[in-house]
This record gives sequence, C-alpha cells and structure tokens, in this order.
Amino acid sequence: MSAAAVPVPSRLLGDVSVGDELPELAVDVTATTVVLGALASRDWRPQHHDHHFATERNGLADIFLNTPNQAAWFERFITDWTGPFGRPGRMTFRMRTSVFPGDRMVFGATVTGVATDATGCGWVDLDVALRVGDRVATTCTARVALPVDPSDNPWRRHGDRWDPGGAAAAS
Amino acid sequence: MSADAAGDAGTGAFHDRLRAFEGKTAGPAEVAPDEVNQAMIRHMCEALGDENPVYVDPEAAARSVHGEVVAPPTMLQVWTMRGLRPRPPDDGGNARDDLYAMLDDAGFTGVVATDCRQTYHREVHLGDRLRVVTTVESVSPEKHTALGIGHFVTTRMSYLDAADEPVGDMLFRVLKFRPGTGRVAPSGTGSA
Repeated sequence: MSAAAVPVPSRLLGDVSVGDELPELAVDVTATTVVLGALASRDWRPQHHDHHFATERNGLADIFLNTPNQAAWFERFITDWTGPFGRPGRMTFRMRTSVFPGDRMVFGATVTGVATDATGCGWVDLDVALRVGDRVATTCTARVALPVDPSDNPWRRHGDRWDPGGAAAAS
Repeated sequence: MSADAAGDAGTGAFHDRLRAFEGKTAGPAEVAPDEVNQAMIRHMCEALGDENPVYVDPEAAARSVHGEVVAPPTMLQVWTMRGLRPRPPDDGGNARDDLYAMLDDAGFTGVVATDCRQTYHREVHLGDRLRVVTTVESVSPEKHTALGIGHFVTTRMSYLDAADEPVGDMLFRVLKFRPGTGRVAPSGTGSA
C-alpha cells in the first residue's frame, strides 16, 4: 500500500487558537431537507413530514427540522472543519425557534477553548450557531477531540483514556 | 370543582401529578429493531451530503483508524427510534409515554424539542445492536412560552451495547404545549 493511501490528520490541536472562526456552511432548507432527514433518522412523527398535521394540529408554520437531523447537521459542519481525525465528544444544543422549508440556515462557530486533558487528549470547545437570517434558531456548544501531533488519533482512545464529558480536569 | 386533568391543568395539583413521573424509568430497555447497518448510515449521509468516507466507503474505512465502517456519532438515537411501531402491549407500562398521554389529555397536544445534549462514549460499528434505557428526569411547572402554554419535559436516554457497556447518552427536553395559546405567531421570522 502506498504511503499516500494512509490518511494523515488535516488539523492538529496546535493549529487551533481561541477566537478562531470556522468556515460557514450555508444550506437552503427545502421540504426535501426536512423530510429526508426525518425519515433517515427514523423520526417519523408527522410534524416532520406532514404539512397539514404541523399547521392544523400543532399550530406551527410548517413541518420543521427534527432533532437528530439538526444534530447530524452540526456534526457535519464541525467534522468538515476537523477532518476525519476529529472526534466529537459532546454536543449540547438549544433549539430556540424551528427551522422550516424556505429558510436558509447558516452554521458558524467560534473556538472558545483549546486544552489537553489529564489523559493527554486534545480538546477544542466550540460555540456554534445555526442562524436563519438575523434569527439564531439553534445555539450549540460542542467539544471535539483533535490529534495533538501527527501520530495521534483521538479515535484510538477507549475506556479511561476517553473522557468526552470532561470529568477529568482540563489543563 | 372538576378533578379531571383538563380541569386542574395549570394548577399545582396537575403539576404534582406530572412530577410523580420524575425518576421513573420508561419501561424496559428498548432494543434497536436492526443492527447498525450500512444502508441506514448511507441514507443519513446522503440526506445531508456528508462525504466522510469512514461512514460509507469500506476501503477508506479499512485504511482509517477504525479498520471498518463506523456510524456517525450523532446517529446515536436513530438506531432505537420506534418509528410508527406501536408499543408492545405487554411491556409493563412506559413512564414517558404515560406522561405524554396525560399532557395530551389535558390539551397539551403540541410538541417541540428544545434542548439536546449528546455524549459519545464509544464509536459505533456495523453489527452493533444497541438498546436504550429512558428515564423521566423532570417536568417543569406550567410556562407561558412564545409557542403557547406548556410544560417542559426532560428525559435521559442511556444507550448500551449488547454487553450492556455504555455507547452514549442523551438528555432531551421537549415542550408540550396547547396549540393556539402562544403570545406570537409560531412562524418565527422564517418560512416566508
């Protein structure tokens, strides 16, 4: 196997500083976005695919992006930036208003923390926002592990060496 | 004075009845209907346009640290979602479903998710058969929100593998609300 076939980390912990901003990801949401994400995540409750149910029974403006779909979009946004060596540890998000077909959602994020924990795992903390126009639809704090050097890979960590909840004191 | 759910909804007595569910486990562990599988991963990735090869390309995944295809961590809750299958009649009751039904009966038929916290304890491989144990964490007093009058319900899901080792966990909060009682139109500023 050629050396070129072996993937190398595209972003190391040392490449990241507090205050860095991630490249934005913009997505024009359609009914297809909402329905495919809901079906693929087995979230088949009708408010995510049935316009009449959403508007007439639930009193909402339209069908809206479901929770696992939002989680997946946050993950895609974050791991597009980290590359495949980035390993999500924890994601906490608050859906303040819903995301509907016709909305243009824009994901943006700022690095709020860069640290190595007691096990030697490198962590980046992110403040993420999903905006629709001037409205912040969802806020998210994410904790993602990055390699500390080219030979490191957070995905190799298991058991006591993987602490996604941050119980081990960060240095 | 009415003692039915609709009659005392909004009073402390109704909240007390809702809070009786706090700390209760929502029935036995729900086992995923299918093992973690490539088709469902592919559907999710294609729905989002996620091109990370370790999710869908066996050769690329074999060269990665995983050695094989893994599932996106955020698919954690997908594997055990019930879809439209009814609850088994003999599962001994389900505190979360019973709580939701009590709120529905009192007119809080609307539901939106508001908060979610997922923690990923290990990677998920093809062939894993996950199960989830759900516990009702808390029920808020009646709140006046933009969407309407309602109660916030927080549940905790613990996802386990076949050896009962933790795979991930999730805190999940929904607002159960009375449609049509909101202070503002529910459209936000979106969906022109």
